[in-house]
Amino acid sequence: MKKITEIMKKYQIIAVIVAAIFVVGAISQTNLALQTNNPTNISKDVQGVIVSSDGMPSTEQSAVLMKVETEKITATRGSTIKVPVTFTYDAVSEERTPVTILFPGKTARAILVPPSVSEKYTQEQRIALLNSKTLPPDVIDLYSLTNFVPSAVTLLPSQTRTVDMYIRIPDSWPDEMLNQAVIFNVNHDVVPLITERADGPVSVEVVIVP
Amino acid sequence: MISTSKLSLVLAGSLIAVVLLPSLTDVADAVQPYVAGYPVSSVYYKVDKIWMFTHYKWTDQFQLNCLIQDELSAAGGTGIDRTGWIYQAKSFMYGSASPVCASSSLQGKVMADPEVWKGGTLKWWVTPTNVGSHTSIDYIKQRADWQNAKSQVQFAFEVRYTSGSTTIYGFTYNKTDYNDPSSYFMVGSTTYNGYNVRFFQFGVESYGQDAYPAGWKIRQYDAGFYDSVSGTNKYLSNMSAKAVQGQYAYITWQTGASVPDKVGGQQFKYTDKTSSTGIVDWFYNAFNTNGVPNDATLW
Repeated sequence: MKKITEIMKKYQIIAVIVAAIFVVGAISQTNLALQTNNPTNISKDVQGVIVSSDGMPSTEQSAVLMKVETEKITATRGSTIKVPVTFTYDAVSEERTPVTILFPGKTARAILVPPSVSEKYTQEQRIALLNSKTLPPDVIDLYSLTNFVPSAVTLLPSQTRTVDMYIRIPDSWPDEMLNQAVIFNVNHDVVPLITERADGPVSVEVVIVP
Repeated sequence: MISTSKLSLVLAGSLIAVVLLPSLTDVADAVQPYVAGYPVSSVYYKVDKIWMFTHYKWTDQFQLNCLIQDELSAAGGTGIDRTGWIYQAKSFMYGSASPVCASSSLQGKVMADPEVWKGGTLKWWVTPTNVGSHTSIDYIKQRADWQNAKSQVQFAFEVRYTSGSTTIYGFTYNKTDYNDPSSYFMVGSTTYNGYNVRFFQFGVESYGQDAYPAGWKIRQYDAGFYDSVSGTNKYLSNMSAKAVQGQYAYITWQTGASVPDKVGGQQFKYTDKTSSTGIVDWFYNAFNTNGVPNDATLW
């Protein structure tokens, strides 16, 4: 009888351990679900997929995460707006190489063509503006209106730093573009280009008023 | 007691493995639902420029789970052969339905998101660029163009807003930074080891394995390319076009590989389409379990 009681006690201990493990498992799953619902965590993973027979994509998911506090701003002609942008290097390992974020980035350009001007150009001519060093006066180079302080930051794994993006609205801002939202994206490059995906995007909508 | 501790450790290890394995498997499989169209034509080896027009204005952002991607893809070539590289003039739209994949201010917005791949490896990308609300955009011309003595590919997104203004977003990929031997895009179809390979595809892709977002409707139209051999623009409306599902969406191959590379890699269930010459509307249809039939005629 004593033997049976001892065996039962042993099984009770095992049952408690198993139950505890299930609880831990459930909590882990809850955490996974929460991570899956976290916009930052999902958006850094999202991308198109090419399936290759001779190799699999990297399973690592390091990313540079970006955030702006204010995403909609009203500004007047001739004013300059300051937009703090925070960058966090979410590295899969503390041993990862530091990354440097450069402002402005070299690979991107954005050109705004107001409605009355749009019709002056053919579609090919409008796209060709991307390669023009000198733009016509009635066309706006959006990225030339932004300035970043500092112009570069280096991030260690898990480190967060803030960069101020200044957006200058010229006095000559066209009447026909007043009271419309114009999107300013944070134009940057990550060096060295980490093999994982950079998170994003970060943009600010600015409505320009007289 | 020692044996009980050991047993609990074994049990703990097994259970933790059970909890974690599914997410690791998801990552390793790395396939996503995809369906596309392609021109039925012989191979064009020297294509300098590719484009298509598109818009998302009929998509219901509040039904759309996470996001839906809108892609123009072409294989890279030397002028006489494929190289195994792939270029995607791609955009996507964030939705508001669960799982939510963006902050509330980005839901309903369209992002420009060009990519360059070699086989299953993403080689070049940019941080997705917000180009505006899907309802404020009349159309987007998504274009890729070899430039500067074929040392660069410029991805251009000409976004025409309903207000009448236009913003042109440009992104430049330098092939020398990646030892990319390509100098052209390729268009047309061939076979490799018995697989049908389509070098030029226009289609839609989900955001994750077995993920079938709802509420989306995307128009793709007036696609074309510049053939530098004849020195002329070629329009897909002058060719016939067919559909291909993701599990068959082979686009190029690596030298010596037995199986070619494909876009997406998984059947895009619950998809439907309406089409006329040069125009296709892809959309979600909850009742169309198997999606657009593979090999369906578009026009």
